[in-house]
Amino acid sequence: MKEDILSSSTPAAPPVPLNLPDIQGVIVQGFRSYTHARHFILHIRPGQAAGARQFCGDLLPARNGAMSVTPATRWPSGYRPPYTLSFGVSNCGLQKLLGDEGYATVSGKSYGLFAPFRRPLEDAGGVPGTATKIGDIDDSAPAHWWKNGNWKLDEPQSNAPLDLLITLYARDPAGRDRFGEILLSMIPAGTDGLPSVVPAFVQDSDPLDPPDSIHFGYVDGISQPTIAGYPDPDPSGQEPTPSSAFIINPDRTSTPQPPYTAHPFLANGCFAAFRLLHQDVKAFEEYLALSGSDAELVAAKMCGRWRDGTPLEVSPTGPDPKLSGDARIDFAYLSARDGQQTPPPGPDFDTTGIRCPYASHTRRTHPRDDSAVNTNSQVMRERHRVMRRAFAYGPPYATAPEADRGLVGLFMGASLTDQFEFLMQTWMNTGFFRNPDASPNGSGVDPLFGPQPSNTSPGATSFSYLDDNGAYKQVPGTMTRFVRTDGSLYVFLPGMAGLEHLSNGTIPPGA
Amino acid sequence: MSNSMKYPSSVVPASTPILPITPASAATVEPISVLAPPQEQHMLLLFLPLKKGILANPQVNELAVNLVNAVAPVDNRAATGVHFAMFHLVPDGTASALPVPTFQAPAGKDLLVAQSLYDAPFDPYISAFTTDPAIATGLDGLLSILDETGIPIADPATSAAQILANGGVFQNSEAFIALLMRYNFGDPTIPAATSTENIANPAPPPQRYVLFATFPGLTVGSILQNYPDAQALWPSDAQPITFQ
Repeated sequence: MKEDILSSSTPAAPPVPLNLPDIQGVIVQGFRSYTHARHFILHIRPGQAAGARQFCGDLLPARNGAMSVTPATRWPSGYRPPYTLSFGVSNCGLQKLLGDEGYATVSGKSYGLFAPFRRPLEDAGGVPGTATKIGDIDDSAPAHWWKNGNWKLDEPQSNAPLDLLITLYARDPAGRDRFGEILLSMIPAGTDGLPSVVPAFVQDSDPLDPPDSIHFGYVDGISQPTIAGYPDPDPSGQEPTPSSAFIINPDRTSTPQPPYTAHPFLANGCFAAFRLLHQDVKAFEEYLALSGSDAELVAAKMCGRWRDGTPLEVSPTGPDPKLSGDARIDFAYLSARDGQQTPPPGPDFDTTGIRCPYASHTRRTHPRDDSAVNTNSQVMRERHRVMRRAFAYGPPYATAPEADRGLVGLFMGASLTDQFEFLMQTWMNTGFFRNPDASPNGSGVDPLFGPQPSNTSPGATSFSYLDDNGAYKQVPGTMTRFVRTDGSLYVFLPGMAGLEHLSNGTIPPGA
Repeated sequence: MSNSMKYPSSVVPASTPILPITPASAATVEPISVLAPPQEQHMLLLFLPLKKGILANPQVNELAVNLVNAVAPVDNRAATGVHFAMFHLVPDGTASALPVPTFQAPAGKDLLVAQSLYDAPFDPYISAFTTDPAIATGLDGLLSILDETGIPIADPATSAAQILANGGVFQNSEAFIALLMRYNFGDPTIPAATSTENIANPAPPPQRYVLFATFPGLTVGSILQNYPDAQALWPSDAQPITFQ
């Protein structure tokens, strides 16, 4: 087994103090009670950047406008605002708002963070584009995006730059409609009298039953990273992630030093991948049904959790409704965490994946203490975490089988390269990420996504797990693609100071 | 078709009961005709400009030792996927080693030629090095002996000097990758092939070369995993080889 380069004897640094009023709330809070979201992808009309800048300024909390971006500041006890709002800007939007010179300065001083942000979607000149890197190919390729009926512009999807992403979180559909109208009414007129900014794509998401579940029937969003230094009112016992993994810190003298360089404009901001992921429930359930009476066990082996959220590693024989809170979050695969329930005896207790397969979605996307997973050393494991703010869209399969449905939202991290893209490229879309891995196909691809249609290799189209006797059991039939990318956009979620700079078209002095 | 398979004995953890290997039936094995990106093999071929005479500096030997020592404690062979590697130094002014022009050092600089044949796309391959703090520190040593004066660099953030000024490889892996690609004759988008059809009909320029492999898809990880007694034959702490 691999060993950590830096042992656990490395002293933990105190958390970096967080400037909560400057940080967008969506980064640190789940807004879980705001169950009805509306994602506005907006287009800044040519020559109308001034109006777009005014719109940015009007969304600042300090301006006391009709609506504003929600900061991370803790709410007074017993109070919840009627809505919450997040604001993101794409690479082309940032160029329009900052101008060429400001954009060049910020991106030049933040090379690594901007490398994925400004990378073309498509391959060019022998250089793989973002779509190829993260596996958005075949019918998930960009040419097929934004075509689920929610496109709002006359011009085709491929020609319209997508500049801003504003997500409104409301408590109910009526509130979403009401605040959605108010938000759009805040857009200033351009020099030609027409709105300076127009919706290009608008996607709602609504809760299923239970509210935190996804269309494949799993309860989702259980194990989110804990940000070091954030005064979480309901902290979990899991290892906190350094705040610089989600809240960009340009301070080169802080401890721990952030693993990137960043222009001060990016301070307290975060990058995110907005993903519109269609889910093929019919294909997923048909694949499970091939296992007959073992279907629910296979569903758990593919996910790493039973559909009610019970972790396989904690309860390998079935869902445990008595488990709640930390017991569903704070566990490990090799060495038991304090309070971990029913760990097998001895050290290195699941090095084979007999309880939870390496191939499962939750283990491969968050391998926890399994340092035999590539680049999951103690130093790196928190560097690959992703904060998810994604919810179901579309009606339940049972009520409208033919309707469009899936998962939509943000996958956030300070570094798209080290976090979102790393997960997609190295752990989710490819096998052999752990050594040793005795599974017949090197753990193939993430079974909750399935292989892309063109990937017909047996290693990708099969899923195996260890039975109680330690023998690999392959699920009958051929695994197909269950998730299709119907849209994707990288955005930057600025801090409030950054949003103010956007409103002025300025940048702070560089480091 | 049976849907049960057993552990290959070579990779069974010590705490796991040893089960017999179930041999695959030859009748069910089809030739490899589709490879996913992590199963592809590629070539890295770097031409790195070095400060003239730098290799005579004893500190450089120390840098090399430090880099090797950083790699040694971790069995990252499956992660890096390196099958072969070659290093060749060309001091400034050295005549070609063959009666035709070969590797030439740029005027006033030495040249380090480094080649590797590796599995999977470039990013996972190189990140297996750059995300390890100790190895990344060793790579900082490599950057410190580069001489990029007079070389066009589109983005200053990707220069060796700027990467070091910004904290080094561990904190600037994207910039380091861009630096490597500046000097890489290898093309990460050209996978090794074996079919005569692939070899005889390469893509037109700008594709620079075709790459042949006897075993496309046979990755380092799959060798370590599936070859009988692989870990015993080739332990991660490599043994000196006596060549007879």
